Amino acid sequence: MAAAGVTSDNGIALRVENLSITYALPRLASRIHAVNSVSFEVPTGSFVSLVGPSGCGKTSILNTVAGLLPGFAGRVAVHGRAISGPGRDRALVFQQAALLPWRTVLGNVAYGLECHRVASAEARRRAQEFIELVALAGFEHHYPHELSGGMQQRVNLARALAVEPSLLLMDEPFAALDAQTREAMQGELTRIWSIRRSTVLFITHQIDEAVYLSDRVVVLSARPGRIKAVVDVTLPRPRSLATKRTDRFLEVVGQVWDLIEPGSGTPQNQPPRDH
Amino acid sequence: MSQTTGAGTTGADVAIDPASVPIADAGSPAARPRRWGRATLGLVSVLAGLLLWEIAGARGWVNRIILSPPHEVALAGLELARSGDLARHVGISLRELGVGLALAALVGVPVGVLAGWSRRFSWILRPLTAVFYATPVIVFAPLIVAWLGIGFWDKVLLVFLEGFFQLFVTVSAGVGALNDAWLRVAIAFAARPGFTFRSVVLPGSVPYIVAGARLATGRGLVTVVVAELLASTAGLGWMVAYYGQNFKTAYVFVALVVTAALGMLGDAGLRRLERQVERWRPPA
Amino acid sequence: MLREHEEQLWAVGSLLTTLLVWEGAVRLGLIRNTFLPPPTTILKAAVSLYTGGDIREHLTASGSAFVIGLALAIGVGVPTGVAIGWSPRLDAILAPHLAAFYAVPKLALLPIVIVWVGISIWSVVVVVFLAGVFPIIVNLATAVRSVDPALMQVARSFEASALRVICTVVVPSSVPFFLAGLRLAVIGGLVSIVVGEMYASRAGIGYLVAVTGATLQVDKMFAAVLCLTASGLLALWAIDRTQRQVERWRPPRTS
Repeated sequence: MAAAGVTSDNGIALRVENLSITYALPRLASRIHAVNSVSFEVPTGSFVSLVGPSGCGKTSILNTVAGLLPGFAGRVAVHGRAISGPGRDRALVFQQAALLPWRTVLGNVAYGLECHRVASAEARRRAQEFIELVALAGFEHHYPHELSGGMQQRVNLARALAVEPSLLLMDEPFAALDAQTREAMQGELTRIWSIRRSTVLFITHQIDEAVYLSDRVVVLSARPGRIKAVVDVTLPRPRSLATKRTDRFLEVVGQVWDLIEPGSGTPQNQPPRDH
Repeated sequence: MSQTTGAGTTGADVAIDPASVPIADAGSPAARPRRWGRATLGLVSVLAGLLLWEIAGARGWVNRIILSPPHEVALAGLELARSGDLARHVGISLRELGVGLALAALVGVPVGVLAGWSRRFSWILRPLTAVFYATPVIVFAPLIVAWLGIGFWDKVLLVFLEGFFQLFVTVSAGVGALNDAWLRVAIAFAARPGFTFRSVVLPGSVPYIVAGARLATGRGLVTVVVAELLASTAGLGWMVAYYGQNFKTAYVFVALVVTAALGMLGDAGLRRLERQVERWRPPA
Repeated sequence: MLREHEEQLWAVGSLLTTLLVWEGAVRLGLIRNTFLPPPTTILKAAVSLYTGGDIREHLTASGSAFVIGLALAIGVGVPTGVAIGWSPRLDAILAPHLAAFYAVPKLALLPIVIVWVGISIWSVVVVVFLAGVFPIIVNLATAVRSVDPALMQVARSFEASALRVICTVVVPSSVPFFLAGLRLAVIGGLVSIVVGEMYASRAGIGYLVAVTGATLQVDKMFAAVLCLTASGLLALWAIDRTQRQVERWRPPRTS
């Protein structure tokens, strides 16, 4: 499921150059600078997270890459081609599952494909594979209201995976879940990703979630969002949930915290470590 | 994903039309033991009411011409049923209602969906709907009768106008309030506008269409009966006017009871349909 | 700035276009004058009705019937609705009766009302009352049932008396429901005025509409309807205004 055909990208699935996003508020006759000259890269097949405080513009960046926010300055290129609006090469996993309530699980997972003008029967056939991938086999004919929050998010994920996008965009998909479900979903996502090796751009508030899931963490500052730091996460893969309790993991998390807020990443009252 | 009214909405958001409140409906499992008690109490109350009515008539507490005792009403009803008169009048009223509603649906649903979908279109229609909101359709009855004569089509036109309005208001409001998130999904997946319309707007508007149909039917029945009351040669409303003018109150009550029964049946039936259509909704 | 008022511009534009097309169609002979008079003729008729003094009597007649009927509906409806909302037992007892009454078109009771009261303005008052009392009862019952129990608990925890609880918690939270019911009562009342007068009165706007309509004085009829619509819109606007004032404390609805 690597990017088909497009070669002029040097193995970079997403390149964002000097992206600036401004919102106009006509009622107050003012403009909000959400994002200010942000540049970063997402290599093909890698998992990259964007983290930052509320209002730093990470959702705006994601929506821009998805093609939902047209009026931006700068350049956004997916596999070497500048984007113009939503496209079949990208798929968005929403924060709220946003499943169509009148469609079953199967119908919802197939929905993305149907939007891409795949015939309904064919779309459902392909959807089946992804339903199994997200471990929802057996629930094909359930309606969204019969599913738990975590299960709905799995359908949300399956729907995006089913269109086999070059770039998977995930907008804090676990934010609305309780802590335990959230952890379980993080484990699931890693498992699924290691099978498919999609290119993922993931947004989250939580540093440990970002470090756990990603190969690279891009840290944004508060509004107007600017790149504060980029951390390459070299924790070995495959990663299980147990990885989150290792010292190495906590070290990396601490590193990131230090970059966000100097001094906050170093645990207090720790005996000095001799390496 | 919440788009139905839930805890926290108040009369400000939802003007409660008695037509939409199931008066004798408890619903939740917790209320079921209470529901049994409710039903018995209601039944006893109805029986007590009928008994009181009967006694009041017999003892002369109330003028029999104003309030016919139940047994007289029952006898009158049987007579009308046996002579076939009742069936004839009911048939006429229902036919006027049916044709009017069908036309109202044919025109009102597409226009309502369009108005909900396109902001500009709804802005264009806004002044016209505002005017009709405050003007009861029945006001035009004398004029319509003057245009079309006393008969079938004047009633149909009135039902059409009333029904169109109900459907239009309900459907356009519903489609306009369609959950943004669903639309965003379609857009994010690069769906063509035609597909978005087919896959989100249409299925999403079905509950509102059915709700509008329920209101249109209820109001339509009232419109038919009142229009017949004012000017007609047959039908339930005609029965009320004719027998009323001849002081045969028992027969008037037959017509009223039949009208009420039809109204309740229609409403219950459409509520049933509403529930069927909304199987995918979480139980309220 | 244009974009802000875009909605109003479209609305006004549509209204003006409709009126212009209407006027033009009749003047050009596309529509018969006796069938549907042009707006200017209607306006002229309205002016002549008003200056002729006639319409003032009719307005007074209808207006007073409306106000009295509505006042009675409020006077009876509010306590009944509150009682029903408060006591589930009373609700169970009255519910089937209310449901049955609701399913009967109140205007169909006109002939019986006339037998009882006679052909006079009081028949109209009765129908206005009947049309208004049900929405008010239902809405107030719902209002009482919807009072946030948390607020009741707060009041009780401060050992407030029943009267204080009612005044400080129940009444304020019931106002929007009451206004919603009032709106429905006004609309129902308008219909009742018109039909009631058409059928059972010799004065009033409804009577005027019926007489001019039946005698094909279409311009005068439309003028009378216009009058009715204007009154109705005024009443509804007044209610909306009140609602907005009363609800200043509410967080704005997220549209």
